[in-house]
Amino acid sequence: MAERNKNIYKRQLISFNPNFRIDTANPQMGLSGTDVYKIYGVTDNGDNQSSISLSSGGLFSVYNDHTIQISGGSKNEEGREDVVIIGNNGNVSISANGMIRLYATNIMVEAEEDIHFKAGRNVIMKSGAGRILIDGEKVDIKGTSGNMPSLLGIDFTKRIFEGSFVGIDFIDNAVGGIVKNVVSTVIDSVL
Amino acid sequence: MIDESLLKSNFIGRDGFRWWIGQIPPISAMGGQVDGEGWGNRFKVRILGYHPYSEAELPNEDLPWAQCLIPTTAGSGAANVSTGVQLQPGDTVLGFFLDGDNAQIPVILATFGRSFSVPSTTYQSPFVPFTGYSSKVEKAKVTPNQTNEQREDSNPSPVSATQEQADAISQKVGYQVFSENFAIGNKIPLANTTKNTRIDKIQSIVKNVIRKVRNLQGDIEKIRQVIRQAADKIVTLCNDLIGGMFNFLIDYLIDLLKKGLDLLYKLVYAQVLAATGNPVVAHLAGVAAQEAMVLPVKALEEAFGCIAGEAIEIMKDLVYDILDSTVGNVERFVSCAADQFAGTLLNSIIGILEGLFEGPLGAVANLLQFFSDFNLGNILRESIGILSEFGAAFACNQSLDNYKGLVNEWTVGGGPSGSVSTLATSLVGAYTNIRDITNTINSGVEGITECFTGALQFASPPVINIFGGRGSGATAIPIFGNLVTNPDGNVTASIIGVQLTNPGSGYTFPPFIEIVDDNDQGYGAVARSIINSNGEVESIYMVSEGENYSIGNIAEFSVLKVLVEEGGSGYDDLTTVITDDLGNEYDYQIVDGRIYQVTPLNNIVNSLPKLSIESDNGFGAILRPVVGALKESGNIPASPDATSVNLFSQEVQVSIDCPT
Repeated sequence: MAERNKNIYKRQLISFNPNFRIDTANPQMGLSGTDVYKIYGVTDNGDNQSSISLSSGGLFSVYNDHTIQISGGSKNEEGREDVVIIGNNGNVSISANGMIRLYATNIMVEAEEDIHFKAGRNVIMKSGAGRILIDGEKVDIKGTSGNMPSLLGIDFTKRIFEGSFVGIDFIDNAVGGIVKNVVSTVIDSVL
Repeated sequence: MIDESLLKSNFIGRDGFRWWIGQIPPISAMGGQVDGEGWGNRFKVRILGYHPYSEAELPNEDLPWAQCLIPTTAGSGAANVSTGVQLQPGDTVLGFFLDGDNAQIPVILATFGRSFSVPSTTYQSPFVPFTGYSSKVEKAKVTPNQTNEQREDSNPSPVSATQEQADAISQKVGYQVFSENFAIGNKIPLANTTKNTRIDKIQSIVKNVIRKVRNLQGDIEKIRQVIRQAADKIVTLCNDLIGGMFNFLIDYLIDLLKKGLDLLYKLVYAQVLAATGNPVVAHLAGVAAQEAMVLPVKALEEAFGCIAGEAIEIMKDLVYDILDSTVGNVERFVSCAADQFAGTLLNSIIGILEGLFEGPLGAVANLLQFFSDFNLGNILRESIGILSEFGAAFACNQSLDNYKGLVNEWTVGGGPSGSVSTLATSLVGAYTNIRDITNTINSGVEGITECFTGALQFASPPVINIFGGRGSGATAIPIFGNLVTNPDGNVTASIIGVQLTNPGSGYTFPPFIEIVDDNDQGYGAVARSIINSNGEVESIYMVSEGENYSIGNIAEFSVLKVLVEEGGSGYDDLTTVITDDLGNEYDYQIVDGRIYQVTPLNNIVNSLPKLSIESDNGFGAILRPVVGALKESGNIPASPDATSVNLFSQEVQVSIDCPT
């Protein structure tokens, strides 16, 4: 059986210097196939590589070891689209190891179907001079503790005592009154 | 004496045209010309047959300047059309004299490309080839090969592969190859709120940190930093994991404590009734017993919020220790290293939570006394397998189809990866013993090394993972070709086709075809699928065959069919011929100038054929060969056959223990 056929003849390389080159049809295999083309640059000390490439597998990649900056619209009038990112048929996925920060005068998020907010720790919504409006055909709140679950009687304690001989008033008085301090003491003692 | 000028026209070419070949001397001879203080594009040049071989007779600094002619495609600079001259010291150049036999005004016309026969050492003496690198153009992070030949190893570029794969290529080809970017190969989790991908995300971090650490090649300080950063990230993800466990635990406890309250009432009622014979007193005693549980229950409720934060704090150092041990014991990446880490982590979390809940649950012991089989650890383990997401929160009759088959993970430079989160429960079960090991770490006793090393494993062939497309059930196996015997004797191959073993069902768009190489050795194979109107996967074709995969099935295969992705235009029956680069011919059908159908003529192949269409006027057709086993040859073994085992069984690689 033969080794993979490598078309060396088709390769065209322009290497301007050790720091920059344009390589086309290089038969060297990469993760997503061979390179259709690659534009590659590296700083003198090798600290920063950057490249733009298209693979035979169809992946167009842009890499940079440090910051990639996209800036548009410095001569646009207000209200024009300065930067547009389009996913024509599928999804647009953005992942960051740190934070994804959005800052603008106004931020609009619109979905044809659903909007999901999920956090591993806290979800915090705060409005300044305006209001927070939750408006839906059906609005549900689920929680174990806090003022809303307590008010709705769906907090952990009330759900447990629901159907028992202990009334909600007793629970509220016990927890909200003097006994609240006792609860804190109990918590401190067990943790 | 007749003036010489009277005998000459002093026009180039009319008084004789003198060619020459010469060499550009070291850059030190160029003076201010290379510091931007000269004019034109000029180089000193030592010309064969005109200038001596000795610097003592004619120093490099005293050589004549030669101007460079620029090709018509380069531009003179006029109208901002310009391409810089790219000559370097040591280059052998061809030129002519503007002044004919006077030979005082040389012009450089072209340069000879450097072949592998040309030495690229430091400058020794005139006319001896030497390196083009100089104080003005120093080596960078590109293979310092200074040749310009039509060869694979001529001026190689950085590759779009991981640094480990680049190192493997280096060993194979005999020169250093660099990775285009350190991020290549990293696993990047993508947002998914409708599916439990917590474990996937943690495993991604572990895979990435193992890769990063290997790239750091023993730089202890940076390795510690990378492990610390990864540990911090994993601890952050534990928030979500613990939150998910708590959701399950809370629902479980509510049911349990509710029953406990009822049983407590009945117990007290019965005891007081027996003692007093008064049902009213017995009832009041029962109620009092229930009321007495309000504070402990409330304390438990409050504890949930505090315990999560407390557990995270405890885990910070613990996760670092586990990760450090994992990294330290993995010599070669295998996915089960990430599995093992995840299993260890989950059991550690469970262990920590058991400890932290001891107090708050002890306060409600009066309610739990009725459930002798109550075991917090088991409940938390149970919770891991069924951590729910937003799916349950949708309104009735609303479809979740849009969220099926989402890509959970992206491999930088590679593409989408499927999810393995269903393994979460099995991970916890498989690594229950690891919890003890983490305990030994806490107590400062070395133990994890013994548990994570020692097992030997053969390199296994890659597997095909079909996911997405909103369907399920499709399976396939890879077909190998282009076998290569590497310098170490290990035989590797390309994937020239994918044999569909189960078409699955329910697909509404073509699913992803992921080629998973647990050894992280092979790379570059890319496949795509097409589905039929029944929602089944109909075919899988290769876009790129890749290389360096451990081999499995190497039986005889053929081109089963050819998919016409684009029919093109202008084709005709008279001048069109379809062949492949293996010498096979194909039958075809043309309708309205478009290639409508292509039929292979029982073409046996051992590599992925590249189809070409000869046609006088046609263009634009795209054909995709589908390689598979001939129908008459029966089933293809899913595991390596005897022949292939012999080929790769000599390679024994150290790995960590993996669950079976």
